[in-house]
Amino acid sequence: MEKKGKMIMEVSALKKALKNNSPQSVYLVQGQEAYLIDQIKEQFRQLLAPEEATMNFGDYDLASVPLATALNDAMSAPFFGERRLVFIQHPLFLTSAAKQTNVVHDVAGLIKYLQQPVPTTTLVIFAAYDKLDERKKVTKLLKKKAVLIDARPLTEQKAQHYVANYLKQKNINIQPEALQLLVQRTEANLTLMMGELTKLILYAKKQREITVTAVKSLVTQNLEQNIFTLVDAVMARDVARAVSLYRQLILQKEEPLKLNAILVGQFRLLLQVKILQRNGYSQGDLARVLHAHPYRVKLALGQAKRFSQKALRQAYLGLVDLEYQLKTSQRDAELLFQLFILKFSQNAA
Amino acid sequence: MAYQALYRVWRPQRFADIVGQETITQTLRNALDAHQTSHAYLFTGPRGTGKTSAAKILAKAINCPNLKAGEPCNHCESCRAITAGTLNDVIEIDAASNNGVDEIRDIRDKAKYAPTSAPYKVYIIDEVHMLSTGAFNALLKTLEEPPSHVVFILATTEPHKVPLTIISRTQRFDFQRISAQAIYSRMADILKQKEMTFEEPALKAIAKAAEGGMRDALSILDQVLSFSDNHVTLKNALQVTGSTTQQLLGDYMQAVHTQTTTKALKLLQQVLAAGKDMGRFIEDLIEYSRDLLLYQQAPQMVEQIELGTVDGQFKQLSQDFTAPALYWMIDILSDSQKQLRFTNHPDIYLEVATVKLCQPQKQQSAAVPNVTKQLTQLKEEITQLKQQLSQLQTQGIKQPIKATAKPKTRRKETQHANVAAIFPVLDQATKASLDQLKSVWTELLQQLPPQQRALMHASKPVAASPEGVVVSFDSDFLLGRASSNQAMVDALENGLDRLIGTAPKIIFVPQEEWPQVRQSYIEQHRRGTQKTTEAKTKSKTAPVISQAKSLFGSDYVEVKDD
Repeated sequence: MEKKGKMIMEVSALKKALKNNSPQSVYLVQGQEAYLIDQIKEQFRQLLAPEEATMNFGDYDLASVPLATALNDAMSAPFFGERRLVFIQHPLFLTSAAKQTNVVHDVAGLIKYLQQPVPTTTLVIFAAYDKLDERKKVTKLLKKKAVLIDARPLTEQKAQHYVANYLKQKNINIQPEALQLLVQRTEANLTLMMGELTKLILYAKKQREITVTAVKSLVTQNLEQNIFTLVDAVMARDVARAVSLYRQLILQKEEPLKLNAILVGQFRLLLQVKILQRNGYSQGDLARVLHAHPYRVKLALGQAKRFSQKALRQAYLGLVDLEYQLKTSQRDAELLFQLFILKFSQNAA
Repeated sequence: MAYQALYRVWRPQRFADIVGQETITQTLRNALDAHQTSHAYLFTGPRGTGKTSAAKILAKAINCPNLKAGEPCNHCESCRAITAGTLNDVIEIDAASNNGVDEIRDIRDKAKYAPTSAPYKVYIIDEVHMLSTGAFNALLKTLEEPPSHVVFILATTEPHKVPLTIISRTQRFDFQRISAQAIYSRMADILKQKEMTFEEPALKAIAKAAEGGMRDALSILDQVLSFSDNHVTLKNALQVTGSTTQQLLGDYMQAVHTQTTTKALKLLQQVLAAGKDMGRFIEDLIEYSRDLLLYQQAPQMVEQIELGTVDGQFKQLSQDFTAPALYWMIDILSDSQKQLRFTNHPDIYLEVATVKLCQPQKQQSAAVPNVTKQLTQLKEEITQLKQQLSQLQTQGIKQPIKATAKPKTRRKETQHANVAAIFPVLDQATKASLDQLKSVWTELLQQLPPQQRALMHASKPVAASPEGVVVSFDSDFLLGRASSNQAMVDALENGLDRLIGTAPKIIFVPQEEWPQVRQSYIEQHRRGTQKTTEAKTKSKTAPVISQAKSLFGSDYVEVKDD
């Protein structure tokens, strides 16, 4: 079931493995999905009985603690228990990134340890980085010796699936649109979604159903998504919605110029996507060429499809003009935006 | 006892009292009920939406021994102490004035000790965005591994200034702006309990001025109450908010519309005499004009803002004014607004602006390039239309004569070839456009849903220009179905936009009629451009003959045509 080497284990597999077999001596957790990392930590902690936890558990942040200290702990025998659990966080020496702290790490010591790990110790290294430097000797050796655990961010589908399953276990229903909205507002980020779910589940405690309204009022939209809905309202020429969204943002004390810059940026992206797509660029190509997040490109593709290039162009130019006015006249930003949206929706109507 | 402001007397003491945040309070109550409270909360939202109130109630509820459905009892010792602010274990900190690392370190150190008189230690940190970076980092450490007996409640109006690392450690609730309707009913409720009477429009005006903040609304109400005897009148309310009545604004705009300068100036004098702030008056006017514009496009929204007090005059005005005129008025008003800042005589600028506004539109056109531009555009459009009409007339009259009678009758009962639309396309038709279209036509049809594809199956593009494409149909019946299917036409145009980058207008024509339409176009075209050449060919022979006739007399001239 658990193989060393290229196989990367998922969290669910780890759960099973830890339950059935005795743990291996070295694990390497790769990826930055905070929720998964938390889950993995929890799994390992359960290896120790609560009364042991204070004596036989060590958590070392290498940003401030030298590696030698952690290794020292790993090499000592467990105290009043069967095993010792050692976490190592922020092993920057595994990556090609430049050193940020002046803590000196004894990498050679780790290599030595990896070649002959202490059998009573479980060493878990959390590498929350996108990429490790595979050329380094220590990285190569670690990858060879350690059991690899996957904590990389899930794809949109997988994350959605994960959430749906989780809710099923909790015996709570979620409306499909509500799930969609949740995914959209959290940008399919699992950690965010799970955090928001706690609130949603509490709210739906009695009804056992998560509705769109609940998601709307409980799940936070970040500024970009707010802008995204604003873009939607502008393009749909929904004057009422656009105006009230804008006011809401201003009330949150967002800078009008900042809002405008993001709006302009969004429309530029829509135009770029629209034009490039016609020239045969796929979603992946677009994300690469435009240096944009793939999910953002995906949403932009969906949005761009609904509008003609002419309308996009018109809105874009209108916004650029709005920016000019914001910077040259002393008029109220909200009023200027209202005039823009009114003019825009009238011209195209 | 000293007088207490309304918003303090009426600060909500139960979750149920918090207006307009039902989802949030419900969630919090459920959490309390199930003992699943988080160790850190972040309440965000505009001012006066209930953040601090919710935080205080939460602090009470967590520590209340008689918790009922998530609500604190407000009678027990700890509840009363918290309300009075005397409980040692509930610590309120204003981060605006305690923003240093030291203060937060102090919290961190004290948080370790168990609470003395209540089950939980609750820290309420208001305006948390004011903390310094160092303080945030110190706080973060505590939030990462909080002692089990501590709950943090952070409140802020500007969540984007709070570091993400902090936000991700908390359960975040976004408080929404309270709707004017909810504010209105809350105020009405309070007044009823105080046994005071009120004029409905007065409360509406206050609710509107509060812009979604309950505290603002109650402060204004407080001021209004201070100079009225247990009766809230619109007049007092407007005096406090400083705004002019809708009635007066409406009259002013009416005068502007009818261009009665004297009346407008008189109204202005009235406002001046009432001691209103001129800046405020201009602002009101701009807002009124904007509302008129908004009303033209989104009537429900205005009604919502004004709490359904849209009167007949407003509706009439929104119909009377054209949008460009309103834009122009807003321009003039904002200009005057700018000038007001640099003058000691605001009334002069206002009077000048009034006179300007009252001038007839024609003279305004010089000042407003937009209007002139639109006018010329319109003129151009009219001439174009006229041309098309004359084209149609010559076309429409002559063509049927040439055509056999049969198609003429047939056309009446079946589908017309839309000659007026086709000809402009043919004017610019190019072989290249047609080829391009033909090459993507099958691909285009593939993109349609099967039903529409079946409809379009018997079609093919026969002429194309960058602006339009003529599509011929084998069957009249299908043509009828196709051209009445606007959704499909849209889909086709969008598809073309995707494939070739332009969205040409699609015009359908029956296949049988197509040769004829083309023929008549060619003829018309020839008539147009060749009128001159025809004349020339005629003149080639004719002048010779006429000259000969004049030289020799018509009797002697014999015209032989060979």
